[in-house]
Amino acid sequence: MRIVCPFCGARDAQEFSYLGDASLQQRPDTPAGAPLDDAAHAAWHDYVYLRENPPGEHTEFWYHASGCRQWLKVTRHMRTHAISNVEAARPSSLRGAA
Amino acid sequence: MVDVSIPPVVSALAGLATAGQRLGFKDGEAGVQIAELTGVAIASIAARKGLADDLSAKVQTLFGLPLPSEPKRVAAGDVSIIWSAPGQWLVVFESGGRQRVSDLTAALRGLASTTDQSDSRAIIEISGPRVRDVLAKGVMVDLHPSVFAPGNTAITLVAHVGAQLTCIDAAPVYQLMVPRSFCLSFWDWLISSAEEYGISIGAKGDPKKG
Ligand SMILES: [Zn+2]
Repeated sequence: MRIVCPFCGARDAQEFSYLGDASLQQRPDTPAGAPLDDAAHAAWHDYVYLRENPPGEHTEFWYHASGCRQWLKVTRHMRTHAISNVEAARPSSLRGAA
Repeated sequence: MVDVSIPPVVSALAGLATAGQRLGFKDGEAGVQIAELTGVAIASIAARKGLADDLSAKVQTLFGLPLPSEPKRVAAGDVSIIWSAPGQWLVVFESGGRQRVSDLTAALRGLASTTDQSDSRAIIEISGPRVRDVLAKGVMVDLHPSVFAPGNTAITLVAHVGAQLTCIDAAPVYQLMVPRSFCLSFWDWLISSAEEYGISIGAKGDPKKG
């Protein structure tokens, strides 16, 4: 499998490491010290343990460890592994010189 | 401030091979020339948040070179700038030693974080008619001149070692930067891969210049 890094170009998957579901960016908002009620407990259980396994497109984080050391957001088809989109995970304003 | 003496940059490959040596296949002309670039000082610079354009302008006035926004190397005189990541570059000084890194650190204060990398990487230059055949044994990046021409650089794995590979001449000549701690392992791979074509060891730079 090859991933087309938006910074480096097409690279073998062995240059990257996989983090996981890119749609899970928001941690449940539980105030510090507040007791976990059933709803909060369920939200945390879902955030930490439960993952979708869709038989189609999935967005996920990959880290280009052996290249530009940037986090990427990859859209990959779970059945075919076809990658339809790769973009930088962080906003473009932080990327440096134009 | 305490005045500390600045040690010279030492060769990463000293003792492994000597200039003028011939290795591997002995008949005819060597297919590959390999030389360590010694006495080189290297600085990494990372733009401070939101100041990349100011940094770029400053570097332009210092060296007459732009900060490449894509994987490229630019060079003028004894200075080259190599893209490293978005907002990060390596500045390579072929003379003047570490003092150049100190001077750069002072000049870029407030615009970039600067780190002396002179002891972190070995720089190896490879050329010769069979150089692409050698690199093909360990490089996964397409090196065809139509896509990897002089000025192009890639940070990638070469024989499982993290390396920065740059094309510096159409001859072709390639420059490989590898972590010094992986140097012996990388050297073994390089020599094993090149010996069927015949290797001549050259010398680049002056080890005393540091
Ligand atoms: Zn990359």
